[in-house]
Amino acid sequence: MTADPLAGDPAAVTKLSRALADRQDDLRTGATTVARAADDAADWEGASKDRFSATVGTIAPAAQRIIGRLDAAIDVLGTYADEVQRIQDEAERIRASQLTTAMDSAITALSLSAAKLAVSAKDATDADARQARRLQSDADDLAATASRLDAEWDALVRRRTTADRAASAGLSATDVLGVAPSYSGTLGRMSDADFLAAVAAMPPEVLAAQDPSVADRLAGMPAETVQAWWDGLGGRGTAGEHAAAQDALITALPAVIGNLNGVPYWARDQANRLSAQRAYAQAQDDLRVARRRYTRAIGGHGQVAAGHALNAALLRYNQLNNFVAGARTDLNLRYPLPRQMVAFRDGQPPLGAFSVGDLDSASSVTFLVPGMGSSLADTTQYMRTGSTVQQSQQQMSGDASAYVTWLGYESPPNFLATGDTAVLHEDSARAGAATLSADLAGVRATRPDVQLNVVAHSYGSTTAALALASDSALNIHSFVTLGSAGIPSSVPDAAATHAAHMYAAQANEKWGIAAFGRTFSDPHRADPTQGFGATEMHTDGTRTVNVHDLAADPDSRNVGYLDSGTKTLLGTAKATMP
Amino acid sequence: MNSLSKSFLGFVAVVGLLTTATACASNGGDKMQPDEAKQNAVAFLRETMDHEPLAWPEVPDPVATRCSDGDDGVRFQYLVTIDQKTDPKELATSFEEFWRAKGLDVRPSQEDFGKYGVAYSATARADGKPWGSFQFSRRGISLYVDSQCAEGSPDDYED
Amino acid sequence: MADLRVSYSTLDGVYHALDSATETFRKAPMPSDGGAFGADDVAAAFATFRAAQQRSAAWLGDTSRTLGQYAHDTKSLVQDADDDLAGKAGGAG
Repeated sequence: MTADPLAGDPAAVTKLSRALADRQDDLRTGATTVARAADDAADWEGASKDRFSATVGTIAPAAQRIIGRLDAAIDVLGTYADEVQRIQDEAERIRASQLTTAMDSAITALSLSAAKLAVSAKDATDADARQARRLQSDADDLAATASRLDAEWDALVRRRTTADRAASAGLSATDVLGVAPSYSGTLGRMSDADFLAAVAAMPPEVLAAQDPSVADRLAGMPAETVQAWWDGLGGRGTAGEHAAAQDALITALPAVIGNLNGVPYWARDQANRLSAQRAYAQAQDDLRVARRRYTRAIGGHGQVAAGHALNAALLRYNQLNNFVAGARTDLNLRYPLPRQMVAFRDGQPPLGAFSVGDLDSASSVTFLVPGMGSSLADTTQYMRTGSTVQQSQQQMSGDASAYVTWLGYESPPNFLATGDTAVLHEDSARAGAATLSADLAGVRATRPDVQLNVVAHSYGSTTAALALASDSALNIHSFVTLGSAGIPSSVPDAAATHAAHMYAAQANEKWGIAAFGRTFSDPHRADPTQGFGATEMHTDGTRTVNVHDLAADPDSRNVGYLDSGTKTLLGTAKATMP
Repeated sequence: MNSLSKSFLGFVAVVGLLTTATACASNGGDKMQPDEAKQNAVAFLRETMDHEPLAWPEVPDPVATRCSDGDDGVRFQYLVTIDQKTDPKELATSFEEFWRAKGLDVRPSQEDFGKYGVAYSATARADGKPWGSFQFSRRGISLYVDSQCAEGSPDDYED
Repeated sequence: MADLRVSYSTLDGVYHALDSATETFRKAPMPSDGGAFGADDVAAAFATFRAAQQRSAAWLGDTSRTLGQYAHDTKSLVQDADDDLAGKAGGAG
């Protein structure tokens, strides 16, 4: 499209520059506030402060870089506004001259026409001829002027084109965007090694601004490649001590780093907390909006739709609220243990995993896999359940396995509450098994020698059996099933799980919920305590554990599989003992 | 309708009735207030601690947790621990007898942890009363008291 | 928690400061060109620049919020410890 010398509003472009300068002021204010907060935190010591210090140090330099890019953009816009103003002034002059010339040409043409008539008349005089010659000369002069003005206009169009190109190029330059678009475009064509090096070299706020394909490619990297790359950036690191490049990756691509096998768990924890906090804040806003819309909805159809939306917003809010609460929830542990958000995958529903214990250093790691009806809204409850086992272990030896509350699959709805029969089928288990297997492999990849266990309840055992059977390299030490909803036929016996030891506890449950799950399963699922090759973990029959739950209702005399003081608690603690 | 389907529907009906009936029976109407549940639990805990003159710590703050999977209410779990050499079998017998004498249904169990010795544990239940449970080993003691189910939710006690 | 040394008020102050910084970064206006350029290629380049700025500032806001959350989480632990100590000192519980 041809440039229009008169197009645009230089005053508006100048106003735009001032708005960008205002933005710089805001960013400076924000960065100063953060720096002041960091100074105020001087008397804060401890592991949590280490994490804080490492991250807070990235803000001021990043803010400075962003402000610098705004400076560069303001320069480009300033130059452009001035040039466009000059071009427009010139264009106005040319247009005015063209108008005058056109009018004069029209008048002269008329006059010339009359003069020529006079010359050709019988009574023509020398004066008529002189007049005609003079008018012709004027007409020729005006034509030349018009031609010259056209040429000036064309030159002005070219000048405007040049100004537009310069501004466009200026706004696309590295010092304005942080990275050249052409460079961003080449990322996808780089080798894995070059790609990883490029990603690690980018400032975090620039990496965060890249196309989603960059994050997708990183997420697909194999664990060994990731581990070597991460270690190459400055060692394995810890929450308190690690390389600036590692910090940049955590803050720039938290959704990827938080779930990337090969990355140490202290880094996954930091990344996931960032992602989960973001998702939680959004869920709070969405719930507020949904409530407002519901109170304002009119008409039956409108209210029904608004009601559904409100329920969905509330469900998501509860899930994320409880998940982030895992960082602070009280646990009855003998000795305190650190916590790590080892996985977080935002989606419908959001899924994740929270450990009690440090997966980078624990001598044993146990994944606790729950059954039907479970979601992130149960995070703190399962953390408490796992901590009962850990407390038992701490009493015996002073040490405990790191227990990971794994809510990483979309479990089938609670049949008793909803009537949904998905729990009788394998679909949810198969989908969940893929993720569980990948998450277990992530631990194995970063901790080749750690004792790795799985404790699975109800339908969680169906899922876990499939996960373990799918990967013989997981090297599972103990696989414990509690009240199993049945093992799929594709896992014919304990040996097929590849676990060094398999234990199965099946109480004489009131209402036989586990038995129900097995009996009516389709395809049929086996009871791991009956001829499966697993060591039966005693529940003492009807004498202690007598319900399907992990923790029983306190207003009953019932006892759940992992209630304190039970045989199954002791057995589970022993089976997963570091 | 085949026999398996009939069994399925019959099972669902029975479970539905049983869980409803049990829920009504166990709730018995309104739940107690949290303070009362805590007081009852603390009283039971102190009584239990007073039974054996050990170096008990102060009664700690409880952990708020669910009453049961999926139902409403909150229960408060108190845990006191002592790290000291004990004769766990003797202690277990002593506490089991003490709780039985108070009318609780006590179910003991034990597990051999190999080099860490034998762990002796037990659960103690009674209708309308706080629960007790313990784990004793040669290395130390864990004593739990769980309150009755009270009004509210564990979420009320999250920060 | 043996290595945690900080006052509740310090952490509270840090939390509120970072909360304020988060809002500042979030609300820092990034103007649109509103047709001021009169040239499609310049408008397109500005749109790319604008998007990059917004994502970068979003990173600043997210990181500040995470830092605030660290302080908030630690604040809760300190409060629990204080309550615990107060309870023990008073012989309550």
